[in-house]
Amino acid sequence: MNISKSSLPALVGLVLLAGFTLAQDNTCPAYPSSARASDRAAIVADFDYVSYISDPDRLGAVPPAKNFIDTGIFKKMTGDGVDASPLSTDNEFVRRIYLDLTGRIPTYEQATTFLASADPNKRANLIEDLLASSAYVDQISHWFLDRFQVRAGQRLIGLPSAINFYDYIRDFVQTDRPFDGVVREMVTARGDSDAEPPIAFLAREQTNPIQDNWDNTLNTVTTQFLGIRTDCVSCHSGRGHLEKINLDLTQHTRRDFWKMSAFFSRMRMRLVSDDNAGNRQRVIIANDTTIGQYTSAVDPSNPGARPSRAGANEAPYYWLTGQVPQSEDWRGEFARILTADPQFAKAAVNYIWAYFFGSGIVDPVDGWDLARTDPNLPLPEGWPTQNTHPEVLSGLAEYFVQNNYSVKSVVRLILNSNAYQLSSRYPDGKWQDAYKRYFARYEARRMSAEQLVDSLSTATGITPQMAVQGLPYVLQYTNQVPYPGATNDGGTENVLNNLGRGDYNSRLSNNQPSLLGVLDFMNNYTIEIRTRAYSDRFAPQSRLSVWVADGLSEAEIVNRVFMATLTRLPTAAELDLALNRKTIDMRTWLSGLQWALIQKSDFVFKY
Amino acid sequence: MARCKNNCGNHGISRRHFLFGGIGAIGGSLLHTVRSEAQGPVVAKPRNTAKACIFINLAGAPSHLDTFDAKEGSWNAADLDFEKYSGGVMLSRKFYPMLSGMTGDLLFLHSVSSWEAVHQRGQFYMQTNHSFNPAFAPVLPHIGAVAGYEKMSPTLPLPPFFSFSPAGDEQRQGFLPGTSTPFTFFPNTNGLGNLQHNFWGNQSQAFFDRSFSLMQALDAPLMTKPLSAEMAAYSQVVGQARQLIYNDAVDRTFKFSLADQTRYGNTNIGRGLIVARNLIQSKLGAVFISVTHGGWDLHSQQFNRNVGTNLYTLNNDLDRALGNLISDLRASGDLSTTLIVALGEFGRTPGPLNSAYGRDHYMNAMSALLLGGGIRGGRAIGTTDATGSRIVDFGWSRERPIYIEDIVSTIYSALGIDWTKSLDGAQEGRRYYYVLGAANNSFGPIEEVFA
Repeated sequence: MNISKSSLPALVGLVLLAGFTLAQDNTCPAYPSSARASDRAAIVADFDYVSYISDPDRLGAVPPAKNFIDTGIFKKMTGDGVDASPLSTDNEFVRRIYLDLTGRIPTYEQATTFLASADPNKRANLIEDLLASSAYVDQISHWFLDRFQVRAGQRLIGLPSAINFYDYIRDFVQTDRPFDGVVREMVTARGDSDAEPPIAFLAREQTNPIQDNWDNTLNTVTTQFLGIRTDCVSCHSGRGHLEKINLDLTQHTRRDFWKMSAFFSRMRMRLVSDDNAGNRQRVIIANDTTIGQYTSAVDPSNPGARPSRAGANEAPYYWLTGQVPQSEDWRGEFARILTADPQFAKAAVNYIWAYFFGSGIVDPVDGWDLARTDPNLPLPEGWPTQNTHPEVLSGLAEYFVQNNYSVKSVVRLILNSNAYQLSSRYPDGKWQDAYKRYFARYEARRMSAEQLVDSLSTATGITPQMAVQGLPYVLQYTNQVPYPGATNDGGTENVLNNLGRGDYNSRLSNNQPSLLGVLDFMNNYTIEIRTRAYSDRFAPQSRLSVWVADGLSEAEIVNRVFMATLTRLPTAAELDLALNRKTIDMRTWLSGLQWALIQKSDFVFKY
Repeated sequence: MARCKNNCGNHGISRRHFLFGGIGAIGGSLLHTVRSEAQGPVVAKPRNTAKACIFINLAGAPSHLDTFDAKEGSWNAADLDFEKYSGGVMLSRKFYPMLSGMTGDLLFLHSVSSWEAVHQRGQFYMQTNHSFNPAFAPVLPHIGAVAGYEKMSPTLPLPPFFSFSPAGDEQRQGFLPGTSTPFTFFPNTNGLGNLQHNFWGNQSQAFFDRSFSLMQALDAPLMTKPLSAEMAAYSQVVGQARQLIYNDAVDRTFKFSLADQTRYGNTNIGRGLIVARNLIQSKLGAVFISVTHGGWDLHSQQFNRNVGTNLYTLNNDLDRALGNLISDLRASGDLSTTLIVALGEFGRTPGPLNSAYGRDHYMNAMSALLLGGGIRGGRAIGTTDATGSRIVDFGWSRERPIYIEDIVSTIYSALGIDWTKSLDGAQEGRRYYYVLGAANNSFGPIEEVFA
């Protein structure tokens, strides 16, 4: 028996919560309790997956395929005898989609509305609504900014330059401009870094000697836009070093790297200062020269971090396709060649896939080994393929190109697939680590620092008010912040740092559970203040304190706190625990409950 | 990659390093043969003389001539007041008023060479005992994370690896489990914030206990059947955090008095060593404490007292903090079981100063200081020439310069850790070696340091 989505409710059954009072609701007499009860019943508290996965006809089956992503993912699973998780419940889905697209959990109202809706297309419609929202711009811009790591105060990036870059990326995400055009702009940017936003991307690599500058720039470009870290071969040839790491790069020499870096060797960065003291420097990239190439001539008193480039005297050569520039505008030619290279689209969609699924189809996303990712090439002896789903990856890349490099088009396709919508609850006792490469379940993982803080804001209704120098408005959500440390809100910045946010400089973000992060999330003043069911001199009104002040019944408040914080209603057992306050004062008790809920695994984790 | 200007005969070991992944990985050993070295596998016998290690990172790379390997010479300032001590030690009493009265405890290594001449690479090597490699840097653990992984107590509340005022980002546990994550913070008199609840007055602890129990009861189904390995790890960390909260002994460990702060100095090194002392004396689980004393990168004006950071301030700050640490640990009986190590990432140019009255980076010679846990002090191992430029006597059985691999092997041995060990599971199934080259005895502990 094939389990189709429409027959899920039949398996689930109606779940009426034991102990939930159906007394007349004084807050809304026009909403009779009978209607309320049947609406309640439609909101599934917990998916009865035990029945679902123990159905003997179901084992080994996968959900139906909605698009070519599903076809590819599920075909491989079925072929190799790997089970899929069941599809996510509506509770799981709504929480996950809000987190992935907006960086924060849904509010109580947003969750309730979605869960109560009987629209058979509600998932697809919610995806569309969120894609069109300003919160999507916040979250996906933040994702790009996290990748490009531009911050004021680093290298020669001044405040205007960093803010301009922030606005530039947000505009690109909002208008969903073609990604290839944006990358070409970034690679060929010239002018005053204060006024030309994409220059910040290049200014970040400024260093001496100039050859290190070119090399750093090339490495960043290949990492971000081809999915290949090439900095290994910027110091030494692949042979004798990379045989156990990257077979394709093993074939390349330092000279190959110089030849590709040569595309940047006519770029001239000039440093200027606004004042005589040199307190605020910035970069100007004047029009590139039309002569000269990659050379080894450096000032011997500052040879740089890389070994000497003895004998280097290179003209540009793009080693992936063998192309050379067709004009003297080498940077422009590089941008054209790069974005026309099929690897560009593949790397781009692979990065997007990794954002939603937790790992790329090719993993790590910046470690493509081109000797092991092409299904038409024979695999080197003893090596597994790096490309677990070549048709899916190629299909996504083609789709991206056909849709004029629209990021939203790929995002929409991925989110509407059943592969993305699988639950994280795998059949009991059957999970194996190897299944991760099949994407057989959604990988439950800790939220990012920003998602934790913003979800806390959403759950409690109390947001920070963060002023950012250079922005005319106050920010309320941390995924709107241009770069770490940009706001005047020291408390929030500190919490984010302790929760593993990187610094866009030398510290990468790290969402692994950490002792300091947990201690902070438990006891930090700025966290704790929001869990209180009081509105007094310490804290503005939280949602919880409003519900208490409105005189709702205790059980109703508990249901709302669960829905607002965990995007689901409590189970019967949870409701019992939550109502068992004995002689503790109600507000005090509910504050403790709110605190307890945000410490729970299913708040802290994305699943 | 450092540029090796000397021919390899001077060093005795090729400075080429095997890839992370083991010696045999790339067609045989890349080592030159070294005199009097056994080639077979070695059976390690760790000395196990120390319960904990305090590792002082002299970030910026101090000059050996201006710290631990002083020489008479026209380049010295006039007021340094050198004194010669037994065992080949000479110290400036101006720089080290306290430590020069404690030379019996101090063991100096004068015959050390560095693999690197660039700060970032040198710091990385010193803290992880592996060559910097952008492909592997994120998964390579700090030596403190390795020590913590090996020697962590299953019952004591504190995490094993502490890092104060870190320089750079090399304090990471890499691929090791989360229990090896460094506990990083900036010591201050108020102690560690976030060890208790707020807002509830004298009911705060009761509130916390009650809420935490409620949380655990509500989360029990997920703790029994976590949705992923990461979720299981998270519950563990929550349990660990619980042990630290409202724990008086833990709270006191992180706090200190203004009197102590004045005595040790209100500096990063001063405050760091006070809390290091507390961690050692409280015996609540700390195994490896890394404290950074930065600012040593004096390319210019090194003796100029008008410049905020100069040799006087750097050395005096170190002297005051370390001298008080030694006497406090001796008084509490903990000195003999606590290994203390101080070193930078490379040395500085020898002989006369440069044209800016400072010194520049120098790999060939540098110094390190060891004391405590099993170390016999009152001497120096190795000798450099009159200007500090070349090692003229290696001073130990391997008859070649001491490298960071040897120093780290010594630290591991003192802590009771088998330095020849390796682990699986570092990045796509590769093997991680605690000390590359230890298994075939190319590197190993400096046995001469032990009593």
